[in-house]
Amino acid sequence: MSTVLLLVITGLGLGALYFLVASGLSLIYGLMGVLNFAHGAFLTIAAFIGWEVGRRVSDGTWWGLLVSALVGMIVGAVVAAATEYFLIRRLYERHIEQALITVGLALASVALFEGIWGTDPIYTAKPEWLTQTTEILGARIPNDRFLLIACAAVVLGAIVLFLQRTRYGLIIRAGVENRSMVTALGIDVRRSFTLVFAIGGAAAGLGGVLASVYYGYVSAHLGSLLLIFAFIVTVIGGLGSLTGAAIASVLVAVLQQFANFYLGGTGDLVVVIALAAVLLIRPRGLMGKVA
Amino acid sequence: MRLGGDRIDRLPTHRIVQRGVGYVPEDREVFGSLSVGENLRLAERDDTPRREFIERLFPDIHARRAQRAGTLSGGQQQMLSLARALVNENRLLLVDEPTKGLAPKIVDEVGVALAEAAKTVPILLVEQNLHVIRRLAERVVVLSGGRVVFTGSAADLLDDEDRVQRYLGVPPMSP
Repeated sequence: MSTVLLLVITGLGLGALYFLVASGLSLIYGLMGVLNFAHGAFLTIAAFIGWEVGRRVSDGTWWGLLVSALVGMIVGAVVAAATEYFLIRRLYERHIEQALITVGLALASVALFEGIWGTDPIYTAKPEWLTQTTEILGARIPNDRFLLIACAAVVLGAIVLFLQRTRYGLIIRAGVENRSMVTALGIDVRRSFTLVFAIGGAAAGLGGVLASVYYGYVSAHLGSLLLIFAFIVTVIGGLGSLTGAAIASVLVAVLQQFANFYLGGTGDLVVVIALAAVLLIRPRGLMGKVA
Repeated sequence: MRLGGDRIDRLPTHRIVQRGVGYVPEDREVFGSLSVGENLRLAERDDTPRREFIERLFPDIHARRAQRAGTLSGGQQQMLSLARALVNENRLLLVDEPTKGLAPKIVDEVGVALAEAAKTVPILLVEQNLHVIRRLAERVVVLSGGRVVFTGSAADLLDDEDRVQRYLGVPPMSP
């Protein structure tokens, strides 16, 4: 029982990381039809700069971590918005070129980060409580899991509130459904593209800082590591659906944990099989719109 | 192409619309996942939407503000699509086959709403239903195989049984 609980909560924590990356991917694809392979780069640069600033302010404390998280979100949002504004926008409606430029950016950024911060992981300090465990029903749960879950829940709530309560949220929801009709109502839908990139970048940036807490290090490959699973989550959840991304994040991560523990470390394989099954049986994903 | 004297053919779509063009597309294209009220709010282009006008003209739509637009009937979706265009002051209204696929009773209701709208704004209407044309149109252009085969007043067309038969391939209707 305690093992099951540990696997579930660890899965939820990992799912929280997947969700922070997948939420932006899903919104961006839903609104603009862009598969953003550069999303991992937003996460990695946010993790590095968040860590650099945080450790100078106060290394290994809550205050330092909070600063890291805020800096990470801002860096993620700014880099993502700049990517949209300077690169993606020039290639409006040219989806192959858009995908290629994000792939190129992803590859080049890893090389750049390795050039600056080296190829080895850099181990990071974190507040003491996060290195400890809490005992629940006999299971000793690492405390960082609770932080990840709480942060992802807050981000999910904030994005939902934004989408439901603001005019830009309304435009984004309508644009995901029928972009040309939004334009035909006299709305410049491209302005919300930059905004969606910024929101997705901020979530990924927070994900980067939290990933460095979860794994205990920052590395140039942090983004690409999580991006693969975030893409799988996005496809399983249904491209364009935030709720779908949230549900799929949890399902994929929990499944992965259980397969790793009970089926001899086959978690990644099981996730890919789940992806194949969803594509065969329900290609639009759990909550996706009909393509 | 000009609107009110200004060239508009090089402008992006949203700029043309902002100059006062309301568009009611052929397949209604309401946002099915949004509520009726959200569909209308999204369409408001300025700070002076004509909400009371819409409430008066479409009481049924107003009563269903909180309902998801995707769950409306075809006729109700058409009314919503019209309301979405009429919530702004327009200089021109483009309406594409508003009665397509609707039951005769609903066709009449759509006709009433369009007649009301036509009091305040010129409408460019694409329509195949002769009853609706008789009720609304002043001038008509008949297209056949992509070519213009008739231009003139609606009365001239509809009162000429021969023309109706020839151009539209349907027997003339009783007045």
